[in-house]
Amino acid sequence: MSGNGITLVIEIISWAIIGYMIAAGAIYLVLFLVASPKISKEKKLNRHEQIEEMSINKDTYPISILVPAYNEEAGVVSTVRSLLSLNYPQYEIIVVNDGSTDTTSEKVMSQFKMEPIELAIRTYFKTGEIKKAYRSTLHANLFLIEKENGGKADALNAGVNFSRYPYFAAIDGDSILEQDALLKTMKPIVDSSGMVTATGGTVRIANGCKINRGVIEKVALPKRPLEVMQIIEYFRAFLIGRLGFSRVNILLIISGAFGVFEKSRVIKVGGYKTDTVGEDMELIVRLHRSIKDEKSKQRIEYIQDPVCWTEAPSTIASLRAQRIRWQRGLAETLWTHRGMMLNPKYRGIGLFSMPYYVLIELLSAVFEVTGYFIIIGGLAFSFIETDIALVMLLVMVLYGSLLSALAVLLEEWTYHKYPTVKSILVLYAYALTETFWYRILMNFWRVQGLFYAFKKKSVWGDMERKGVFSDDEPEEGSL
Amino acid sequence: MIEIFIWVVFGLLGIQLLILALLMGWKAKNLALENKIEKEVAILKPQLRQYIEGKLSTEPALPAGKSRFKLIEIILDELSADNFQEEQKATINLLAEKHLADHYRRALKKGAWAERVNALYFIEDFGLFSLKEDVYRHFRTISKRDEEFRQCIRVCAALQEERLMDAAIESKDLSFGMIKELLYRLDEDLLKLTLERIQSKEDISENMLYAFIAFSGEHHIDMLFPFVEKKLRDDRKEVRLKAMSSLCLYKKMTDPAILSEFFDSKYWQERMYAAKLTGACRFEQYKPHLVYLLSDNVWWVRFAGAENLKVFKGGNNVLKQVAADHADAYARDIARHMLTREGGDLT
Repeated sequence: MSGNGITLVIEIISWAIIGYMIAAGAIYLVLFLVASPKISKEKKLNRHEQIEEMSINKDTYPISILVPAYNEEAGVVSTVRSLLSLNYPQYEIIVVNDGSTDTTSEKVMSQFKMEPIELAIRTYFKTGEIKKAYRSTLHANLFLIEKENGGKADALNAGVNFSRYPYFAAIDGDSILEQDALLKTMKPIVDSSGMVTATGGTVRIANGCKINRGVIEKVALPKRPLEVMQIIEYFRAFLIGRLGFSRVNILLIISGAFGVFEKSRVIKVGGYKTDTVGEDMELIVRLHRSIKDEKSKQRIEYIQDPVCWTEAPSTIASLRAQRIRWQRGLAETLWTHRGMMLNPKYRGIGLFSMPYYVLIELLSAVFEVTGYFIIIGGLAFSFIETDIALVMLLVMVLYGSLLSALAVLLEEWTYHKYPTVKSILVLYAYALTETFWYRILMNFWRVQGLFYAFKKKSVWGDMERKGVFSDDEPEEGSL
Repeated sequence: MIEIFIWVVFGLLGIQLLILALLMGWKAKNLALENKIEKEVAILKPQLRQYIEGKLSTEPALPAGKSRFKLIEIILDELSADNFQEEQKATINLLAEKHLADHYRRALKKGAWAERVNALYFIEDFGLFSLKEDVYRHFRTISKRDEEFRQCIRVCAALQEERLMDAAIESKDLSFGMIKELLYRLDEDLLKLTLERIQSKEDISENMLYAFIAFSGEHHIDMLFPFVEKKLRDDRKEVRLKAMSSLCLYKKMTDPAILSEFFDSKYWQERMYAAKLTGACRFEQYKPHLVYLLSDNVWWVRFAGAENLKVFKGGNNVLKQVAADHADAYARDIARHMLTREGGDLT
């Protein structure tokens, strides 16, 4: 191929990427427009009064909270504390220690004075061997299961086997819930008399916040740019994306950090899949599939209230590991359920959600990384017109920075959880920088994740916990 | 070409910066207002408390201005949560009628969705009977079955709106939980009237029947006990289960012999409730049946059997014996499990 031919091909690719990114940005805007009427309508709703009734209602379904934990010694005690102080009529907490090699179990056992109990567990799913179970002598509704290592999905399945209530919540060992989180998340289920089979709420980053004994006392921004950027990223994902999907019942993800599920439906679909790293999304897709196969009117909902706070990776290495894992999980799920893709039987899920996740969430990194090479090549080596390279850069700013900045404005318009004027300014300024460094990092890792998706191995990931929830923890029951 | 993109990007950036400036201004103003209200609450709440407790003879002077309504709403809402006597609660109600009722009336007529729903929450919390007609009129105008509809019928019930209960009895699509919420809010007179209408009506919805049975047990309403007990003989499995669940709360049966056939029911839920009823009513004669259920093929039935054996005097000893000697491994497991893990109340 001649030099002109190569240039022409690169120009065509460049325009395709530009067109792709404009289309992707437009889809985000459409999702925003779909979500905004509900956000606007409920913006001034008194959230406390809304759940007051449920907290005393005898018909509020009891719930089992599952906390899968693998090497969570830094945060597990705070997580359990936050769960013990939940405002909910009837619930049990089941910490599943998935063969941790650190002191996760010892911390739980000593803080909550656990004592061994005998096991007679229903086995809805086969899981790694359960070695022992304990129950707190201080809190009758707190249990700890010790099992051999089998991955997060296996730990959750073991928790479901052990649980006794008709609904369960899955929460990460590095997350804490707001006091009314369960009431808010269960409300769609109770209001719909069970027609809602799974719900999730907005997850926020806890880094930078002041946390005392498992309770967020003051919301504040972290110092590290990497952590601030993740806050913005979560705004974008939750406030713009998920609510739009949920409005039309085509939501494919409920965050692994916190979600509530109808146990019988999860049992029916076979529980969490243990051979994928994206078990949270995979389960939701399978639930949708089962609902559609049965022609059931049940649905999966997302509530917009921020209910869960999680510890975000604070180092490049742990963030990289997390993103590679997420991308692998996404790729594996989409591959497993490729039969749903563009299949009219699955309506919005098959015709919109699945293609969206493939083209936007999975492959956008490939498009963007290609774009980076074209921009650098165009500006530095002039193998395409400088104008095209500049247009691509501007579109990337539009798609990356300005959309994220919009998410910051949306958060301030709706929940304004950050209590100072300065914090909005800081978040907005960081959002504008996203295209120039953070997004580049993410895209390279996501492309790596795609390659890694071919190597299958169930792992927990190697996130280094700073323990943002850790505080001075005197033993419970002591003065 | 490039100019267009530059214009688009900088145009959008300009718009965002404008919105950002507005949001920052709005946030600063709101933070100032919140601080002001917080300070005023700290000053006024103790004064209002004294007035409500009768320690002050005249009502404290309330600040004028925009924050006045919000201020009173916050204080009265917080004070409502305190354990006051009836007389003091009546004073809170009078204050709410005086300072808040008109605002809520306007919100119901002209407010946005969230304002109307908030108004309905507080009308119920403060028991504003002067708005009974306004709320019912508002109920007639709601077409969408969302939070506004649900809260509106709760408020109608709390304000003892008879016309609402007529509509509820006729309705086929109110959920079980919602009907129970309504029944809970009725005073004795309206409850009696409603129950009479339900009993005399032949084609009431299943949800209404279930709610009625469950509510009877939860409130131990003696006059309804025979009705509930009779439902043990109903042809529909779900009705029988609801009746068994309700009787667990009554903790009694006039004819325990009826129970015997349920231990061998083909439905595991009935076997489970038979175990629960045995425990709830302390039917010593059925203790052997509980041991028999420890070998059931359904975990929940075994669990209920073990859980309810435990409530009898000497139950733990029976469980220990089962754990040691029973021929069935499942029975031994569940007995051991129950000896160390207390069961919750699942009725």
